[in-house]
Amino acid sequence: MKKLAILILSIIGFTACQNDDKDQIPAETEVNFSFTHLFNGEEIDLENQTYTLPAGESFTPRKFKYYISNITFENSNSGASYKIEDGYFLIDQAGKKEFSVSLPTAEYDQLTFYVGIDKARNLSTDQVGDLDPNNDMVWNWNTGYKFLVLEGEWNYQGSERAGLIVHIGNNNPENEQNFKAISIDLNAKGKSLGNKASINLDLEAELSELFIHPNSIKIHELENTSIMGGDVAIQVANNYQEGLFSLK
Amino acid sequence: MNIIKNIKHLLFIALVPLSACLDNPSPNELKGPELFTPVLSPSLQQENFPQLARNPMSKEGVLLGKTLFYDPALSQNGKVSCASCHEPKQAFSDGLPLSDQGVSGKPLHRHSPVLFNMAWHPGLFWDGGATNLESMVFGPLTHPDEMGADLKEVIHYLNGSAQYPEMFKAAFETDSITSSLIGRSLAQFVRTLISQDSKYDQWKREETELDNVEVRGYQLYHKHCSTCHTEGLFTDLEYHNNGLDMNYPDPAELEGIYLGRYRISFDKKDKGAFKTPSLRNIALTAPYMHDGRFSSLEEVLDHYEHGIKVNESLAPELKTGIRLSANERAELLAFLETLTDYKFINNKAYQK
Repeated sequence: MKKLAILILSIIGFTACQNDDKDQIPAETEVNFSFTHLFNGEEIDLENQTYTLPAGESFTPRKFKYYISNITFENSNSGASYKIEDGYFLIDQAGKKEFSVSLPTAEYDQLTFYVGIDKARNLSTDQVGDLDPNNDMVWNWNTGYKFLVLEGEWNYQGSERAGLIVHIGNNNPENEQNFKAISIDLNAKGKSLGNKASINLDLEAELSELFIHPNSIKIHELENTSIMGGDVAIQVANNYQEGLFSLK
Repeated sequence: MNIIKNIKHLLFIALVPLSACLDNPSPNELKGPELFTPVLSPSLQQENFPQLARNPMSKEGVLLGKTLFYDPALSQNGKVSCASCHEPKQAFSDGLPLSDQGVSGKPLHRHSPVLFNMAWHPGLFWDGGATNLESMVFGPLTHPDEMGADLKEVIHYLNGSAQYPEMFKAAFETDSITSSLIGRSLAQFVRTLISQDSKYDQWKREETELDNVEVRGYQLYHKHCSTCHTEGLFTDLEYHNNGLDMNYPDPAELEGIYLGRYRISFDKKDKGAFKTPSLRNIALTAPYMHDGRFSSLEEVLDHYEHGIKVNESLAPELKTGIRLSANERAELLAFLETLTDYKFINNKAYQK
């Protein structure tokens, strides 16, 4: 019996040495997210550059920032998924545009993340880190976060310059919420997870998409250049759900 | 209570020999923040004292909150403190219809609310948009027409001050001052502002008598007002359209401010609905309504008698108005006077 045990152990020990380093599957995968913000294909230059919105208006962006949260990787064959807990990341054109998360290595070919903050986490703002209210992303008249902020100088056909202010962010009530999931097919770009210790996911956001699809938003036809709630905010949120983000 | 005291006592005894070995520890380092719960008068008719589990009230936290509350250096121009619009003598209101005392000098769109018995309010601001005091304070602190603060600069100021780092350490046992702790300490202080010692409260506790006029006023209050101004806190903590306006303009840049509770709930019945203000200390807190449009209680009673605008969202109780004879009006006003809490407005613990 003892002999057998020694034999088995030595076989195990021996096979362990057979493993080649290049076949080693790392226990953890580090996923490095980075975001690039474009306007009509060119990278945004805040304050300095004027762009043309899809409806023909001029726009000089001053602020563009949003929260990414509830990141989930999924295997579309097995249905297995892994959600990044407590992952709330502020992406700011004038500041940080990347972050990294780690997860146990496994095969995932789909990615889902949300723009904004889920209902449970949006119930208070006395929070820290990226959710610290000093990031200028909390509403000052109700409790919760702005999910996405776009601000800048706007004018149309020689009209008075006006401030275009887009503040989107609501979980409540259900029919007014604009907390939106973005789905990315990792496999289509050869970015599936499974055996690498780290992988870079470089995402691009084309801002003109905020105004195009599925809802065409013409600021000059609105009563006002502030979009901070109600139907138009929901339209903008539907627009960033579809087509704002793409994986390079 | 006695058990807690005994534990504290035993702890203290246990710690004495230990402290002998340390370099002059301050008492706080030994026992941490000293938690407490306020004693409530039965006349408030409240079973519990609500506070958030993540932010239990402590003596050190309240003292820090009070210091911040009275500190104008938190504001953009160094001149506006919380107390600028919430003065103890006026039950923590300001006596102005729409204040223009903020850093920009622009008038606000809503009347400064009183601050007492806030611990029981599930919604803060006139429309209940803020749902806890810890989060609410960032509104007035950062609003460009109120204190206009940049929270990063506030943290910088607090870190560099002679007194604050130690106060934060005593209250929260940390060397890191964050926005969240500013919110939490201010919330702790505001929760201590409890008004429960007016003549009415003493009468309820059978410590004093109301005269006949006041008693008749109390009966009239019950008949006409108590549905919304529920006895105890003298507010139902709910939102009602009390017939002030027919229509509600909605300029986008004001984010639905005239729509009242509707801008939070998106429920049609909440159009033009605002939080029921408490009747406690009402004699001290003119002008009245969410926009301070009525300068006296007489005007308020005039409104309820013949000024109600009837639209779809009007509180059904108000459809026919509230008619009082001249005598009844005097009696009701006499009762409302009994809700003035002089102990509250003169309480040194709440003052600078």
